Amino acid sequence: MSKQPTDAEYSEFVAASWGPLYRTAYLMVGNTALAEDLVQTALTNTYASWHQVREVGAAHAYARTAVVRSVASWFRSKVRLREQLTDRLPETPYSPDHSTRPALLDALRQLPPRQRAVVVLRFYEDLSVAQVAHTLGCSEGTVKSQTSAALGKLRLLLGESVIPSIEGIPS
Amino acid sequence: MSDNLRDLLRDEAQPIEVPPPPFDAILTGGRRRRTVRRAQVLVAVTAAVAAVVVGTVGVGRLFTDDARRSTPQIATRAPSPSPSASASPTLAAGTLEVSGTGVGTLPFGADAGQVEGALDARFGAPDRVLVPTAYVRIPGQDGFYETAGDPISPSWQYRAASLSCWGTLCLHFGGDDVDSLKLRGWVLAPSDAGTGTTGSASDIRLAGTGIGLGDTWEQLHAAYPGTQVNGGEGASVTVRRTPWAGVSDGVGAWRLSGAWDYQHPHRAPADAVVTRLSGGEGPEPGCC
Repeated sequence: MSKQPTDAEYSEFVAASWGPLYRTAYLMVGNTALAEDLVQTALTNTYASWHQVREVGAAHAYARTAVVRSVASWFRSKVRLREQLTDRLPETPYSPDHSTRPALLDALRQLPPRQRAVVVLRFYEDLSVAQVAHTLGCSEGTVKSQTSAALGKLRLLLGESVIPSIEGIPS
Repeated sequence: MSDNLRDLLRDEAQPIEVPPPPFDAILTGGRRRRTVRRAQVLVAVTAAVAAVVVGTVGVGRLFTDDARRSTPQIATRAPSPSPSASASPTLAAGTLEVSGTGVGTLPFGADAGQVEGALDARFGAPDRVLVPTAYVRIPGQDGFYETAGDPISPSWQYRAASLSCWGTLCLHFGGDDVDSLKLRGWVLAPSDAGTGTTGSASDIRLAGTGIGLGDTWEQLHAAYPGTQVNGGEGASVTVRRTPWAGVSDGVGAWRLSGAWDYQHPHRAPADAVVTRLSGGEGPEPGCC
């Protein structure tokens, strides 16, 4: 891009990225209202650097990293604020729906934040190990070990039929 | 395997209703943030120039007689023992013993992944996690701080920090970067998170003496005769002369229940029990 991107281009970018980023954040925190707040924060921060963007095509990856950092910040503040947000009411009414959806989200919630991020980025966003490492700001070895640990825990929680075990580090 | 997981994640995420993006809030907030960021850069540049000027003057003073007579810094904390080659990645069942050298068979300096794995296996997933955080230098201050420009924010000697808690037990990890975190300290205190899922992390006691949370001051003092009651921030009762260095949260490394009596500063309140124990190092808030 030879000229500075404009606010109109940023609005176009937000319109295109909002949905995918919202879903990614939702999988990481398990709460729609919180996901909305975190993506809004991330996109607000992204705007502050928007004039430095040289290629709009690369902006999504930048915004995704901003979302991951917003999520990480929220987990840090959660430790201090001692609050637990949830989409669920204290008393859940009877539901005949026995689908696996609640089980998956519950299982994700039981993973430490970094493992949850690794699972979402690798298997939902379909990023490579190198891309996940770049997004999280850690080494590829850490991504592999965190992936392995996360899948091990998900296997325990969801069962072998959902997460079958295979030899070696998942690719 | 990964195809199953991909499908499950998409089944979970795709049906949710995505609200429209709040364009106005994002653009307004972004503009404000951009303005603040530019102001911060300006302040930082000004501060850097000032630091260079002050530093130049300070270097000159180092060569004066007064500076030569200054006393050397006294270390307030013993260095952490190096990790033992025989460290076990698992913790035996029964009472978990913590001490001035580590947690169970895991010494200070043990790899964070190993330690967390062992605690996970023993107590399940941690119920509170502070993800690895990069601490920052503040010009003119020693160590690394949690918040740039805030010298009373938690600080210590490591650039990266994380925290994991299993019920009443919290472990501090630190290192040069987020990939080389090591066990640095532990804190045993009642969990007030209200969301704990690891109630089993309760049978934790000091190695050798068996002292734990809820024990009386008399029991603690009998086990460690050198300890002394003292006052803490907010009329809290702290314990000083502990057998090893601990992690203060701004009040004290070890604490008792009740209110401190300033007229009898070394007397424990009636029925005082142990409410906080710790060992090793952790980020500690600055003061004043």
